[in-house]
Amino acid sequence: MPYSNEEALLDISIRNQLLHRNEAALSLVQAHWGKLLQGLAYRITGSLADAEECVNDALMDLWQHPPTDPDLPVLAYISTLVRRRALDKLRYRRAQRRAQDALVCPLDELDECLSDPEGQGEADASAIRDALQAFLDDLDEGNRKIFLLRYYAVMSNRDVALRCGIGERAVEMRLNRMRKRLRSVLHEHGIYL
Amino acid sequence: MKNNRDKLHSAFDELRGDTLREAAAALEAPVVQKRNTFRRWVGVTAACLSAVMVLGAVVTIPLLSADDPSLPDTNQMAVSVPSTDATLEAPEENYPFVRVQVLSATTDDNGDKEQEKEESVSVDMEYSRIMLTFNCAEGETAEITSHRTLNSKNAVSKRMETLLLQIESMEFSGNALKILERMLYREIRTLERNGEIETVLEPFRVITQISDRSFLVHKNLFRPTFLSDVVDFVIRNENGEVVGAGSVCLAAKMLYSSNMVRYEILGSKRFDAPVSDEDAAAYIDGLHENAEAVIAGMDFSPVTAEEGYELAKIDIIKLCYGNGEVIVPVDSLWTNSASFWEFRILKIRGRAQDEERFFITFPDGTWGEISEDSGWIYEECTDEKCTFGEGTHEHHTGRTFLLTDGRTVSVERQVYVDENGQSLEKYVPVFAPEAESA
Repeated sequence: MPYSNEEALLDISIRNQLLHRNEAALSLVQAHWGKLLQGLAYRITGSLADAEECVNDALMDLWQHPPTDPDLPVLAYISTLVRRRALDKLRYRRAQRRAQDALVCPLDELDECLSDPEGQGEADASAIRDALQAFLDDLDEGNRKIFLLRYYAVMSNRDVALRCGIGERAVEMRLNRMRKRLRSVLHEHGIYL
Repeated sequence: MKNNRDKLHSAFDELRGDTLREAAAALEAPVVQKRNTFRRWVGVTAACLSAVMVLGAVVTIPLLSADDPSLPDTNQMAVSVPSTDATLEAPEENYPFVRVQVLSATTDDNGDKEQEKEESVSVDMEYSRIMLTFNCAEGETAEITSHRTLNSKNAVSKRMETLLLQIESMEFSGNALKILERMLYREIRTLERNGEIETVLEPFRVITQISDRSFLVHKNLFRPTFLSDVVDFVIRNENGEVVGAGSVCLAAKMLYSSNMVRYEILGSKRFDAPVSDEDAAAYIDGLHENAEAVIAGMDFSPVTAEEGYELAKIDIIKLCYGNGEVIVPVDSLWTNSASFWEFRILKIRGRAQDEERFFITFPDGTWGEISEDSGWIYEECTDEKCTFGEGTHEHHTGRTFLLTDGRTVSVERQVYVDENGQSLEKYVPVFAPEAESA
């Protein structure tokens, strides 16, 4: 994936500052990607207050556990941290919620790939990851982008369509086919969830 | 232990580095389709009509067509009015049709597919996006000629920025956290007394201790509390001549996690004959003379339940601020988002795990602190025609809160039938008469 000089310099700067325990690194991350990260957290949690808390906690995680993989951009690393925090928050809220759950999250669509979403199957995390990776590797670049925007970045179908330059209906149809394909891939890997 | 759903969701975080890199790049990817903003010149054809989903209040101004039967009819919608009623009275002059809609800018989704058919102009004001849509006669186009900010929000932000930079440059010990917070809160209170801010800004996680000597100061938590903008436009015929002009005044008051947006059309006129750009500018300048007075007269009383709840939350945060608590508001444990609750419960966490205060808030912006909570009262349903449960079932029918000010408020379940004949339930707060509360 092409990486501009400017992006590379920013990445190096942040890594160096983290290495030398200079908290200006966190300010840099916040300044460049704060809004984007908060948007990601908000799309998952549906709450602005929770989204801000998730981003704050992810910055703490970044400080305490700086990225060690030189090939993984800082943005990719912290996006993962934010996403993880937001999913934890979503699970907590759902467990606490007593009234009808009015929150509809794009991630709920992935239930179609599962036989028993609420169950606790025997498949371990690495097997599921490998199957998911194999499924994504098999997709062409366009479809992979659609799938990641929808289920990694948790964007609406409309926003996915805008970023891919296709219609919203086309996005829905492609995602529908890809979810069916993911279910098949999981079964091919002997994973029945 | 994670269920299958959680396992699949978490698997995305464990993907290979190049895939995560691709995901991050996709996250940063710009939209491919052009979107018009207030900074661009916009052309709108008369054939494009928008039926944008309304997430806030919408006011339409009817297009007078008494002298020109070729002009299209307007969409007459009965809506709530956030601005002064004078805007809706029959105008003295013919108006080019301009529609103002307030959307939420907390997500990127504008929420309506039909917007793709039309070019509209959007103005972002913190958490809100305001859409200006023009419906002109055939061959006419609308252009935004100016958009400027009236109030001095930058001055407030700069002062806070300066203070925060000073704090960051200090050498301090691990115990300086409380001192830093007191300095910041003192500055906030000074700004409040001077009238530069009208409400306490979001205070939670102002400072996060990272190590014994380092702190992360969350600068983006400090924002101005009141914004006001003026947007000017002209209408041109197919020859490029100015045939109409107008100006819209926008104002946004910051709440906790949203804005209260009010707007007023300062003026909008279709000229009897084409005029020069200079004459149109002179007309618009005349409209601006009234802008400050219009903004000062705008009514920011809550008109929606969400605005009321947000106002109440701000009051509660101010109260807790006074006690030196670190505010981490937890909005509403079991009443948020669902429309059938006509009140909300808010929890404020203190520094310690067991420091919690509970409040009940109402859609009119009032609130009370809860001292006792009876919990739900469950009753077996005896209504054979009940549609809210199958077989033998119960409803939670009542709950009583005793407030610290001595009032007692009960929650009652009510069942009603909407205009479609569908049975719906709602939970409403009922205050006990004062004699009983005492």
